[in-house]
Amino acid sequence: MVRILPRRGGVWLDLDRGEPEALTAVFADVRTLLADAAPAPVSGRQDDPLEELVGPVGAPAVIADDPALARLFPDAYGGDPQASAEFRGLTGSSLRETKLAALDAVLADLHGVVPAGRLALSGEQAERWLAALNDVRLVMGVRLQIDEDVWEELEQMPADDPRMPILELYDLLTVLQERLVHAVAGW
Amino acid sequence: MTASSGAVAPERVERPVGDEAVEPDRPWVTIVWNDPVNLMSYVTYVFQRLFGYNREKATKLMLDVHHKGRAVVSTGSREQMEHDVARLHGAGLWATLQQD
Repeated sequence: MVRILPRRGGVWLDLDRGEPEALTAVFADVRTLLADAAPAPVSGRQDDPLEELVGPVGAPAVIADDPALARLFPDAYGGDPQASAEFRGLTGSSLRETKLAALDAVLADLHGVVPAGRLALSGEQAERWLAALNDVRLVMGVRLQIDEDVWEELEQMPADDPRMPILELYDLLTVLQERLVHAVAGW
Repeated sequence: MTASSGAVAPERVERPVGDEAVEPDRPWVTIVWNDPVNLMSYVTYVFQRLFGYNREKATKLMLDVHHKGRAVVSTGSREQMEHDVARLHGAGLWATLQQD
């Protein structure tokens, strides 16, 4: 299981055998999900990567058909789809770029750390890991319909349950994020 | 929210009420909503980092979100609240703004 150790100006992240690959795979999946949220433009409109998510600015909100993406770009105005769409039109591109940058940075950090290994992360890198881990866990949460009972469910789950591997991965991500928060916050 | 940490209701900054005939802008508030994925520790850390709250105040706010389903985390103009909501979305929290 992952271990976090403080170091000057950052943390050491110790990963066990199999963990670098598992992390790389799930970060890459979410990166693709975000990168692919960029459809062909509507005729006459300049290419807008977030058009699928926001629709033309000023139009009623068009939430992505994908609820996982919708969770990464939440409504800012509850009960006001138009205001939410405008807000998303203004902020969504930048938000998406920030999320992609964090995932790319984490994937770069993981590159070459196989089969098990120790990464040195600066405070800044650790912050990006926190953001990337949170986004990946949010996507998994929507995809797997995870609620607060997931830990109980995992405890009682038979070893051959088909959901076990993916929930164990969610557990790994959760433990990693929890330990990283404590290290970064200095608690 | 999920996982564990360690208290109270969020403080609200009351703006002075001006001349009612002039109808000053009602303040806007930023609300953070509970969700089953976000870690209590992470939410607390985000509140500290984004708003400069100390750990105790950030924890109290987080517990309000956790137990009551939502909490007001800041108040101000609409533009200020849009900025706060954008930053909270950047950290992966579910936040909305509304008029007080």
